[in-house]
Amino acid sequence: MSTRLPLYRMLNAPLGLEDESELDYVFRSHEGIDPGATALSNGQYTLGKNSDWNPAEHPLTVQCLIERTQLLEVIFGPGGVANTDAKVFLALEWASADSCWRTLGPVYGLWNVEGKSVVLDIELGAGTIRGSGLLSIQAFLGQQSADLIPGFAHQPGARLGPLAYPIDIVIDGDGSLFPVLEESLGVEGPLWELKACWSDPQDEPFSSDYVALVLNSTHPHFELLRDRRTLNSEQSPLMRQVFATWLSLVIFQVKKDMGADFDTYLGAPDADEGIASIADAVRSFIRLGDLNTSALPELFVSTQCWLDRRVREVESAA
Amino acid sequence: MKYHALPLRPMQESGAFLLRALQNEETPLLDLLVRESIQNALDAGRSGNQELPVTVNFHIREHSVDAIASTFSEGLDLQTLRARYVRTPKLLEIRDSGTEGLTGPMTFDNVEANGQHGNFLKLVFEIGRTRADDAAGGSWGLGKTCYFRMGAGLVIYYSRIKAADGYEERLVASLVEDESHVDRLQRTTQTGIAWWGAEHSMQAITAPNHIHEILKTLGAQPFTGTATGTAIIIPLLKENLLPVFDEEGRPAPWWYSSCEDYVNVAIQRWFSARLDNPFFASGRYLRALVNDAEITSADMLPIFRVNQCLYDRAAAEFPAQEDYLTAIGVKSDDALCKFINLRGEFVGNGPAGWLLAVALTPRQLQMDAPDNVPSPETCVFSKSDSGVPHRPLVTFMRSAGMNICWDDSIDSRSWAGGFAGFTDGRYLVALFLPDSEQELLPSAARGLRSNVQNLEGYLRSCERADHAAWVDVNGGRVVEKIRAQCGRALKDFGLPVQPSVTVKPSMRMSRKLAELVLPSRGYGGDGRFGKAAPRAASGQGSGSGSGSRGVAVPSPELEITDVRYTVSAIVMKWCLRWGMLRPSSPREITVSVDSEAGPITFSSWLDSELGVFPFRLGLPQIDTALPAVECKEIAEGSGIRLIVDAEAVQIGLLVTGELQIRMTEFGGKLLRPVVGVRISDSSGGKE
Repeated sequence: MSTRLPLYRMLNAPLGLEDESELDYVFRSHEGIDPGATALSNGQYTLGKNSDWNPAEHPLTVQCLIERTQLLEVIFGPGGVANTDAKVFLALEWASADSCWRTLGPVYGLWNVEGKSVVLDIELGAGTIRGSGLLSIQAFLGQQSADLIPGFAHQPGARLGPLAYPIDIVIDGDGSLFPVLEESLGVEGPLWELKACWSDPQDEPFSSDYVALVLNSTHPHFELLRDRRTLNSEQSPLMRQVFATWLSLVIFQVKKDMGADFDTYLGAPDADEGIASIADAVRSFIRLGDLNTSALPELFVSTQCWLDRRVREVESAA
Repeated sequence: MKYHALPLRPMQESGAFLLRALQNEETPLLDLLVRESIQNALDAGRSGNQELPVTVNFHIREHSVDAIASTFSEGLDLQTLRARYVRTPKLLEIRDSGTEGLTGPMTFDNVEANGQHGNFLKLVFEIGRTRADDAAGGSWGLGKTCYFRMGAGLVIYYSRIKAADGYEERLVASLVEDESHVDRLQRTTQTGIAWWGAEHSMQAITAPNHIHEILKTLGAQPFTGTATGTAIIIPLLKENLLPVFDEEGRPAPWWYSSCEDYVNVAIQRWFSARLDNPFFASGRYLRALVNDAEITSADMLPIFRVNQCLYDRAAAEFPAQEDYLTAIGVKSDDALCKFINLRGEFVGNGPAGWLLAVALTPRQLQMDAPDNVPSPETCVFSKSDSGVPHRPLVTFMRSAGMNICWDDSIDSRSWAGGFAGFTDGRYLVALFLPDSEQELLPSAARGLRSNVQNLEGYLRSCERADHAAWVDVNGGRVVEKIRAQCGRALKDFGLPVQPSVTVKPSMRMSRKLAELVLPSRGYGGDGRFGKAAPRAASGQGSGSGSGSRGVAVPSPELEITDVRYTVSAIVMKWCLRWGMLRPSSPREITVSVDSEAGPITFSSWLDSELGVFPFRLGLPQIDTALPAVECKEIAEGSGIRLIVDAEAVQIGLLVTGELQIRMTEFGGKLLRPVVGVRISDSSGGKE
């Protein structure tokens, strides 16, 4: 084993270890869309909770507020990395192997002067991030001290290390998504339709490439699908009826496509490492909802009852 | 020749049964004959010179009834024969050369236990016995029954083979007719099956003079010189071999004018990939002649040239820039080349095969004046053009290169995935070529072999006796998946999905509905619950204890606990975990120079003649109250050897101290030191 020794004093994430008020992260997007960030343990932030935010469509802006007094102490204090007359640059750094890129946000120039909290931000463009990525606060030497002091970096631009442990921003995981699309089908078009273009329900994933509930965004009743009275814009009663019908149609279609294999498939145990196929999803619906697939009318009835039951459960848990 | 009638025995096949054995009444007889005979010839030519083609010559000519009457007088009812064939009958001779011929034993008595039956016995005397190798074209041993359906049921087999002591000629004949038919040719028969051969046993005659005499009466030539091969001679042909062109008010295409012309087109129809194609990738290419007129690639109908070109693009190393499709102006946008991948079927990750497709205008298919070539549908199915939109034409083949069938279904589960054709009048022509070597995952439950089977073997097992379709064995889904994938690709090719700016996912609704009816994880890639749940741990727990302070470690570990800087030195505090690997051996702390390619050690630095080594270690101060630690400078100060009395070494031994890394004036302040620890031994340090 071997260890690289730094040539000058460097930071090793001195902030945020004990007092979390030293740092605060805020996530935003454009057009008033809240990315739905949630802090988990171990510095992990997830996105998308109760949100319309879509990484393919919306940018992500992260803002970091740093309490100034403590910041000056760790940089210019006795154990710091720069002399008190030096200037240090601070910036947020995004690095993501999944997204295949890294970048620095706008630089903040810091002198050893008391003042307001430091605010750093970085914008990650729509369609540029995926998987997960690390966001860290990096310090650089901006302007060297007048005196050459052993142990301090003196080349402008030299990295002085991270001010805090990086946070891990999770964009993609394995959280379930229902394939719902919004499309302009015209004022005269249907309120919704079933997109079913699978060729093999056992071999194609339950995703909008193969199956989707398409909502007509230009239909006069489109707005009635969302219940605007609730804070999170839950689905309206009309939407639940649309959804129940759609589910019944998909289940019925898959049953028809699979023919005699359908009953065998229903009885088989869940695959541990499957592709979450359309057939897997249908099996899951039938099991979770105890749906009656013997005939379409019975299926409609049992699906509606299941959805109403689930809504009540979710509402009572909220 | 001596007549040998097959007596009736328990479980004995009859002539009437054999004439129905192929169970294919829908394919024209001449097509069945072309497919079977060329396939047999190509199988018999597999071991020959791979640079040379397998030559198959179809001869159709008249012959005299006397030629039959004189040779097969024993056993035939000559009166019935002459009554049935008042007009001069015709014969068909299918002659392959450059092939191994009808080799192997001539009687079953000569077959050793578990020995090879050989081509002779399989073709002449056996039904249902097939070739064992997966790559063979034939698979059921029933295809040859189509020979008996071409005429009166009489088939003469002539072959010349390479023997241990020169060459050997063989000639034998068989007759298969409906034993219950009133005007059957055999005088007395219980089975309708008989052979003519040698005098004393039921085997071929081998006397060249006798053979040549018989051939002469039939107008056939013997093989001479070093030539080997087989001639199948089918005399007394039916007069109505040409299929009926049942399109009212429309003229029949030109190949309906004679059997010769029909055979010519049938060869193109079924062997377009292999016919006159030196680029054929999985065996010798086919040289076919009809009445001595060779069918060249340039003579082929455009649809079949297209098919050959698609094959070459998939399998051969032929530059696409110079091929027929390019020559007729096919643009890259009008062609599709796509890997067909199946999930969970193969041992490796490779594709199941290649799908190639092309969209062609009538002009590119030479359907306009002055060529006026019949439409692809007419060429393939011998039926009139169905009009716009034209149904897609998809074919597929195994490595033997015979088109299994031409599929023009527009059903959603068909090879074209329900694509109904281009509305602008273009034709879609596609070919699927499997990757024969792909190994299927063994699964007895899915009807597959429990041992490893390649895709070629599986597809062969999916063919029926007429090789006209692939149907998955019970439980298998390989063909179904291939067809579904091809269908999707062809549908997308024919009807490309227009990217819609108005379509967008409704993310909040997607998340909310998922939370209502789906398990929270597994049906999508959303990040709202964090990273994907890790797979179940397959090994031991992660707490292996590496690096934990005070825990016994096998190898020595050096931890830097503090770093201070002076004008020309770095002072580091360190903690050495001694480790239990060779505990009595000294440990060495070394300093190297960091570089892009890894640390440069002192010796490498000197070997590379880089000048004075930029770092030098001072003797350390040992903090540990361990009296027996001895420190010694090594390698001109680039290392420190720590020696501890063997008796003092205990599990979890820690040595702590402080060490100074001095930097020389030659760039030491710009180079980054790397410190490490290793076990010292007599043959040199080892980290």
